[in-house]
Amino acid sequence: MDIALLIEKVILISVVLGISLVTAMYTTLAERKIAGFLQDRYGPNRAGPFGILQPLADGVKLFTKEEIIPREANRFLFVLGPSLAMLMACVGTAVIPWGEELEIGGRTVSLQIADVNIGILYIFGVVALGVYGIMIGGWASNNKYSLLSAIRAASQNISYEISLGLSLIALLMVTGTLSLGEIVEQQRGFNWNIWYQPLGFILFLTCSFAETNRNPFDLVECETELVGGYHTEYSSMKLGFFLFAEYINIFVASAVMSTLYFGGYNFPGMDALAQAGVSQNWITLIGVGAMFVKVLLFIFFFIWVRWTVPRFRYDQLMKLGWNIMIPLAIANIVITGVVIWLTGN
Amino acid sequence: MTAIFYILAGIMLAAACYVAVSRDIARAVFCFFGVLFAMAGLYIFALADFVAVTQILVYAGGVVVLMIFALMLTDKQLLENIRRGESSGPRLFRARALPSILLALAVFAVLLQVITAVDWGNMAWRHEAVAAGNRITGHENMVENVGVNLMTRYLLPFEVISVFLLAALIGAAYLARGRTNN
Repeated sequence: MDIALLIEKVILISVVLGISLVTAMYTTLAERKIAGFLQDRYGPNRAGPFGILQPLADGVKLFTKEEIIPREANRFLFVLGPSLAMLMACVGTAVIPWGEELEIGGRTVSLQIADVNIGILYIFGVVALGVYGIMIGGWASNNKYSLLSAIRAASQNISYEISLGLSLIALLMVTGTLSLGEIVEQQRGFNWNIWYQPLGFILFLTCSFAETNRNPFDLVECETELVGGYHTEYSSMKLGFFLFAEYINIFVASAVMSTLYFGGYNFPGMDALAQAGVSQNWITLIGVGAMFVKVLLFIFFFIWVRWTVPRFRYDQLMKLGWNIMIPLAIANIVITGVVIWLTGN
Repeated sequence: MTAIFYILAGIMLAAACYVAVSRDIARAVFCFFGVLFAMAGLYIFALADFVAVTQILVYAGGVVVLMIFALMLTDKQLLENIRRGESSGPRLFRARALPSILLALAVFAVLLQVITAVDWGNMAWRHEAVAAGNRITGHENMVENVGVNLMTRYLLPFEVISVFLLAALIGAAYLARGRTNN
């Protein structure tokens, strides 16, 4: 294999992984700050100016806390749970196109780690495996609250995966490709998929709330019923991994939504800039910036919803998933098919 | 590259053996997950990335989740009793497992027969396909290929399978419904 390509990919992977971890780290701070704002209080403001060192303090705290593994727990699976949760959260970033190509010293560098032609299915597979961490951790804890939480997590994820997949099928009918790179290229400028798939986007958004176990779908860690849910028995950094994986999942879900429906790195006026003689590298960098603005807006939306919308009851959650989301998703497919047939392309 | 193939195949065989002989059903299910994952890796080696992802989606993401689901809903005491009842016999293979061992050996004998009977270097259809340029290089759009073939050449089997699965689904829903009358 080409050694330069290998080095390039290793650097790209490290940068993407680093950025996703740092973003997830500061999402924890943003969550507490925004919660403070919405509840008319300050939020964390002691560690550093405006509390910006708070995530570091939290990390040190979690690492130095005593670690307890229950005697009756299945030790191997107990450790495997948070590791899997973390792994499955991180691998999703591999197929997302973060920007166009950069020219560095005569070498064209693609800002997408792997442009596989089954990108969407890859994302879907990662989402399907995401529930394993919670299930394994919850089952291995040997605690009835953890077990109930794991069962909830499994049934919730399976239910919402169906409407997630169905909403994606309608999108695929519009784009005609499974490759995320091509899907973003088709949305050049302001020609975003959200204009063609508004209902599909709302379904996808709702399902990603359910898949990341965020409020109003966080029945999995419903503290009024289940103590701590699947992480009741966890302590120290294993607990930290579970909580942290949720924030990485939010980051990945935001990136996927920006890519599929909001044009990814495309921004209005990019062709005008190119005609005005701005070099491709600058346009690429502005595009990466645009991508991150979209991702950060989605992360803000996730936090905003968490602190404004109350939690569903479990039967309401299931009813929403099976009786409303799936019929809507199927209707969306039919409407998309009819429109494509009528417009003839 | 060949080394990766042997590593994947090794992981798969080791995990499969563990699934077959293990007495701890939880570990067996998670090793089964490992088997499916390694198998997906082997599919990628065969340039069938679509099949690999489908394997992960359907088996690892669906079937094994349902297995774990069943495991979680099973009474732990019951599992413990079964394990204790079996712990008196020999450690790995038990007399009760004799039919399954015989069945596995029979399947193995058939496979061995096929492997030794076929002359792998001189298969006629393979030479014809190579000569006609009808082979995969890894740069084609496999999804398109699969989709077009399913909708044209294999339409009848595809539809038969759909109807069959629908029948199974309706049957499952019928069996699982709440019996309110009588």
